[in-house]
Amino acid sequence: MTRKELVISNRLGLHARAAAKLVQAASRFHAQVIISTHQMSADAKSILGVLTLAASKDTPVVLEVDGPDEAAAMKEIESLITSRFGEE
Amino acid sequence: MLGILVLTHGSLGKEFLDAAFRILGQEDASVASLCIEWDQDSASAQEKLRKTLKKLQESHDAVLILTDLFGGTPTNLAMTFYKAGKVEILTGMNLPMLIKAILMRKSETPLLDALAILREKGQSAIVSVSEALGQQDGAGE
Repeated sequence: MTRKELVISNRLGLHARAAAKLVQAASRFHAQVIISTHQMSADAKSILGVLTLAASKDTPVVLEVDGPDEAAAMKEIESLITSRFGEE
Repeated sequence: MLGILVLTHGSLGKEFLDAAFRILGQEDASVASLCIEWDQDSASAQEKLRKTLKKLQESHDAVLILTDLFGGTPTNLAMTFYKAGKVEILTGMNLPMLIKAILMRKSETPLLDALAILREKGQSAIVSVSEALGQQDGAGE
């Protein structure tokens, strides 16, 4: 299992379109992807789950990726979050 | 396979569906919307609904109709086509419920199972932000 702490840094936070991009990225991999804030955890392949996190700008999140392709999955999702979902 | 019809007053249904497709990142030809215009007479609205429903039924075993308001014209019209287990109707649709419905359709959840889950999802997705923040404060203590 691979674990990494990141910060949501785009201005609008994990809003609907950003959440959709995250879910689409996570769903491309076999690995289970869990994204957590201090308050709650969600399956990163579930759009409604990710939206429930209500993660605004500067929210720290923990990514936990577990599965045969976890390294590639972590790399892609990390890149998506650190590139601010391509928004700014 | 399940077909879904979003049936509402005015152009609500079309806009709900557009929002859901944008969030999901793709459209789904098995999910249709039908808007009952405010000045439309009920006979022509019923005929329009009959045709839309028939088209969905041609390619789907069962159809779930999601409507905006119990007691409103779209729901009342839908009820004339109700057929247990074949054409089911869920009222008070919201966006999380619609998104969940589209996802469940893709995962081939049977209609009656989907109905129960969507009813629960639609209700649990209604969140008072002050309560949510209160819970978060409590969790940090």
